[in-house]
Amino acid sequence: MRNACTRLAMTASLLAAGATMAIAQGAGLADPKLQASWAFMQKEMPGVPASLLEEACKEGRVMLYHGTWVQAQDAQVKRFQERFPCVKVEKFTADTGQRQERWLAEIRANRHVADIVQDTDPGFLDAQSATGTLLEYKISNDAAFDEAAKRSGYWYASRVALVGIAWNTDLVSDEEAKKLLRWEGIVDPIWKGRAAVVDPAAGGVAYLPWYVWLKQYGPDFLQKIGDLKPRVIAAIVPASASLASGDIAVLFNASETGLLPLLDRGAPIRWSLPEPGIGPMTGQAIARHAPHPNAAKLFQEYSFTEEGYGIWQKLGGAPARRNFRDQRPVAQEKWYKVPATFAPYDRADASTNLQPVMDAYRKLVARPQ
Amino acid sequence: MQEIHATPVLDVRSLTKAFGATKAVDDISFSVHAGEILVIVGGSGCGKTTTLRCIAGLEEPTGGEIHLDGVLIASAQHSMAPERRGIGMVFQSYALWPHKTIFENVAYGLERRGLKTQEIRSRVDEALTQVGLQEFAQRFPSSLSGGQQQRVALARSAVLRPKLLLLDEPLSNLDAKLREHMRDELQEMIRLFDMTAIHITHDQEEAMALADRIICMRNGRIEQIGAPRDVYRSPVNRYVADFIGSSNILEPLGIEAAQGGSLIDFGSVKLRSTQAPDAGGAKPSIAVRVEAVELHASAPEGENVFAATVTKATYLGGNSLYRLEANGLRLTARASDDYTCGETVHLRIAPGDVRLIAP
Amino acid sequence: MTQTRAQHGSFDGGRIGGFLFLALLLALIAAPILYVIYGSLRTGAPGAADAGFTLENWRTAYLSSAYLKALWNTMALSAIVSVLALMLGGALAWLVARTDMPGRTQMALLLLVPLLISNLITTLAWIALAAPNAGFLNAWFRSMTGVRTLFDIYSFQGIVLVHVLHYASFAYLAIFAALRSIDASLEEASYMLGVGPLGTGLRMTLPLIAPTLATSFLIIFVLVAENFSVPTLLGSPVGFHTLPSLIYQNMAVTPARPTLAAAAGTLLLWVALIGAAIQRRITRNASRYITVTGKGARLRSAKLGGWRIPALCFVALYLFLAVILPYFALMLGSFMSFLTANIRPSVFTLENYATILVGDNLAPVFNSLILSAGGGLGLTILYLGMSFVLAQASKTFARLVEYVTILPSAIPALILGVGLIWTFVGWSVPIYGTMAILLIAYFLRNLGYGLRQANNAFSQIARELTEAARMNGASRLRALWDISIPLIRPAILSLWTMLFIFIFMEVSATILLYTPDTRTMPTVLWNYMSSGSQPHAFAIAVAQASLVFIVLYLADRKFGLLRKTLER
Repeated sequence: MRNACTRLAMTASLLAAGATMAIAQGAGLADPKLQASWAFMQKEMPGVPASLLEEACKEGRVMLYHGTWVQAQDAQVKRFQERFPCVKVEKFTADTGQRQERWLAEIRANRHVADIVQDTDPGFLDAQSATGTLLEYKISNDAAFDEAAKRSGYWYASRVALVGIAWNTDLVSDEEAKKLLRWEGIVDPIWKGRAAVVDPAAGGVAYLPWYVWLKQYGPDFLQKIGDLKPRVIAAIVPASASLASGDIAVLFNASETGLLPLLDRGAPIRWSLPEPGIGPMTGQAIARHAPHPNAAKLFQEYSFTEEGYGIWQKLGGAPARRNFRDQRPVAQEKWYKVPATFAPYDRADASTNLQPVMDAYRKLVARPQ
Repeated sequence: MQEIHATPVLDVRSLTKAFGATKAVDDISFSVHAGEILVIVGGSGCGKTTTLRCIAGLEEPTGGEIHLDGVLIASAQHSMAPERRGIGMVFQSYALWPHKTIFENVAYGLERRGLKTQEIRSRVDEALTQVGLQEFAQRFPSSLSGGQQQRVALARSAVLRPKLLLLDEPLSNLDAKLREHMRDELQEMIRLFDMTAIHITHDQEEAMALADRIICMRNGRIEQIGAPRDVYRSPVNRYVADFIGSSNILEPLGIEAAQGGSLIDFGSVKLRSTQAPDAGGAKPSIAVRVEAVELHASAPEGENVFAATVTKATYLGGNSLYRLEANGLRLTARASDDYTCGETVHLRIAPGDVRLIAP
Repeated sequence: MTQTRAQHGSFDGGRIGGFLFLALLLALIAAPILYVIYGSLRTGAPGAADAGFTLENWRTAYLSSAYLKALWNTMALSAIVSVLALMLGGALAWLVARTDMPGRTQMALLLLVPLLISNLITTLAWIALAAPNAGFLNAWFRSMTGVRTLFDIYSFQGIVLVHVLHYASFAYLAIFAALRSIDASLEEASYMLGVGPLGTGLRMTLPLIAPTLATSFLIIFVLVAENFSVPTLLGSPVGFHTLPSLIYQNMAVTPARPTLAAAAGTLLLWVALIGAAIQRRITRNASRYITVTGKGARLRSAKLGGWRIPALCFVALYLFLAVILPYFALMLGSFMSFLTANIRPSVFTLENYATILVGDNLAPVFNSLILSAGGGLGLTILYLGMSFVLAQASKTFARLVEYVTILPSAIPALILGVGLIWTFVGWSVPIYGTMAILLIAYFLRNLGYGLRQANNAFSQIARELTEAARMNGASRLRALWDISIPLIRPAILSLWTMLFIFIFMEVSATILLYTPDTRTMPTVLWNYMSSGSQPHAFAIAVAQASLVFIVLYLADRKFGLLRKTLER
């Protein structure tokens, strides 16, 4: 059934490719069906040779190991396949820790399945580029990414998952909400019994604010959060759902990962992104022994083109590409403001401090009952 | 019969079966001849069931050999699968398959032999007719009475015309009255189907009634083997005497040789036996069957006559069981006479019935 | 003589084949567990170049107060849930299987419905119902009475409630099958002595189904101890952690700590072994409980008299709590843009169903059906085969195997999945990355339950019945096929049904092991969940439960899964 569907889609795009071919005359490509793809490449991936396309088409598929933001990823994959009908994208989707362990186990056993790997922890990708499990490949759009948003030739950031303070507009008045524009506002006694936090043990995006708060404001700040007796929620998604349903009024360490889909669906929520901003990036890289290296390069290239990146970003997090206009509808909202500065944050330091942060959290916030 | 069939149907040689450290069957040998019904009798745990299961192939012996029709079927090294032995078995619970009809139950073994449907039908019909259950063919076992189920179980085995039929206490699940009736029926049918059979039971009466020969077992060993009458009359030891029939087992004070046998001293009473003093080994006990003790109102003629008091009388219908005491010697007797408790009676025991046995 | 020996040879060959089969399965069981234990003693995952030996993981898991507290919580929760679920499930099974309660035939199948949504989704449904401020139930109750919160699901009681409602259904099916196999003459004897239905139930029936109860206790105990989603979602707000919720955290933090998670996973192995020892004590004298003998079995219904209607109300109340309420929440939620108790027309949408009902999601539906129906049957046969071969092995060996088989169910699925990757990723045999590894995972996950159910099923049949077949010329296998299998049909169907449901719902291990070609429905659901769309996940859960129910309903119609069993 699925095969039939795919075949149908392929036929449709081949027809489309045929139509464009009449307009854009070929430049030395053996297969005339690839003309449309090639035209796109010339426009958005300057300098990438036509041979990459031909080799990628011969490989015919690319395997993507990724995490959350399924809708954004699906949209990007769909458009990629329309641009490059000869490459079929397959995905393995799982939570960070499990995905990492599976990928690493495969590498250790010399069984290479993944072509493209994404990770919400760029520190992980940094470490991997050092140990040689990533393929060195500099994308044609390399210059569009700042140093903070890439490790040139290895990974490039596809998004920033911004962390903010979110509230339910049915339960928090505009007057009260003003307090939530600054991080310091969350320790105000008016939130007592109304607020929730996501357990830092949920990892990634949930952990980082605790790390920054402790570093920036000291244990006293955590102590005050603890005094408010916030409800502790195990993960980002259920916490965001609780906020949208009105079960809690405020979520102190909310992530746009959980908030955006709910806002899109009309949930009565808003959030602030106080200074200094907290926003871990998701990086994307090519596996060193990718079984489809050329298809992988093509996908990596496409992901960071103006178009590919835009599709992604429209449904994903804040842009990591330089001077890129935020495509998300939320960016048009008057209340929405991306922070100008970001908390200084050393990825390695954040990883090493996991235990002290967890200990402080357990002692001061999730006090034993 | 032994003369006619030189080779026995079944020959068991030094059969041993150990479960871990315990020997359930300990080095026993016997054989069964064509047309014979051999009954193995003994209390629970005597090894009779294990012996039967070794013969059936449901247990593998740890020592010795079993030969069927001259072919080795089991030894410590290898044990032929039960389904290849051609031995039939009737189980204690009948083991009728509850999900199959009576017809299907009886037909199963024939189907396994790959017989044609037509032949299966006629043979099953014949077997069911012989046990008088042809009209129950399409019923399920649960709708039959215990006696009927037993007949089906027998027909199921008989229809295969096994070289040897094993019967594992098939009567023990029936009530007393039915048991006696079925016992006779069983014997008739075994004869009718012209089968060779080994029957095990813990009921000595059943053993006596059915057997051509009896094996009495204890602790995995054969205590005595012989015709029912011989075993009954001349038990070799106290256990057999106790088990086969009911006997008075008496401990003598002394035994001395006397003319035509021996004289046994019980203090105030002395009994003469036709057996020599060493007949029961070094320190023999004396066995006297309960029905060998005769009761008389006045002192009769003859040897071994003495007076005793009735201490208890139990009427059993037809005859009575008496507990008697004669100057410290306690005896039990079964007789048809009518005495009451406290009465003085005169006892007589024929010297041939005073048996010296091993303890 | 020679002929005789040749026959012996073929017989021994069958036995050797049986033991090879067993050895293979045991290797399959041992490998991932040993890998997990090995991994727990390393500083890094097995095979990592820079990893060395360490006791640090074990020290943390076995000595730190957080883990010991979690261990205690795990045991307490499991014990309470198991006892309550057995009592509830046992009562339901007895009412449906052995009384004249009205509507029992309709109820028989409905009582399985609680199992058709996974623990995770049930928990989310209950959060939607009974979150303290915005749960549907609490909001409704508040609008009626003004009382703020009727029931707060974020509590120990909440965790127990969700588990008990789920596992009562599980206990129900197992006990139902056992009750259906009991020879009524045993119970009739009790009635003859003037003992009423309840007294007979407690004094006669209860001991007869003791092995099933013991097995169900163990399995529920282990499954609750292994579960992470319920305590994680409902326990976090009250600081209640179990071992699996800590293990989940170890895999969620960055960098992940798979080796520490593995060490904590080994703690659960001990819990499982203790449970298995208790179960063993209860079933030790299983031969006392032979219920199918050569004398035929009949069923008999207890007359409830005036208790018929109260009994029906009791079953209805259970169905209301375990089926109607959570499914109401699921249905409602699946038509909403986002979950809220502030219900107004604008929150309703058909978009969730429109999104999930796409061609791309057909393959997972197909995969799930194949894996759970076909795989479930395959595993049923495998467990029966194992039990059959084990019955010929020495008692000590069989007992040892029985202990070992509980272990894979006790390791949290997450860790078992990691163990399976560690085991098979390096093999050139096409297991890793195929449906085979999923089937192996399901085999291991359900082994403790499946093998025990198979053992119980066989132990219900008097040995003489198969021996009689052999004396009638049937080989061991033939006797199994002609006699044992038909007689334990209710137990086999119940095992297959349960495996079908379990496999259809499995996600924790699948999520680590699937490939684009072997996606299952729950992995699709999970991915919607983790990308923040609960209503989509709810829509899939509704579709999934409906599909499974339809399959079960048709199977019941066709094969009499629950209606006709040994009713001759």
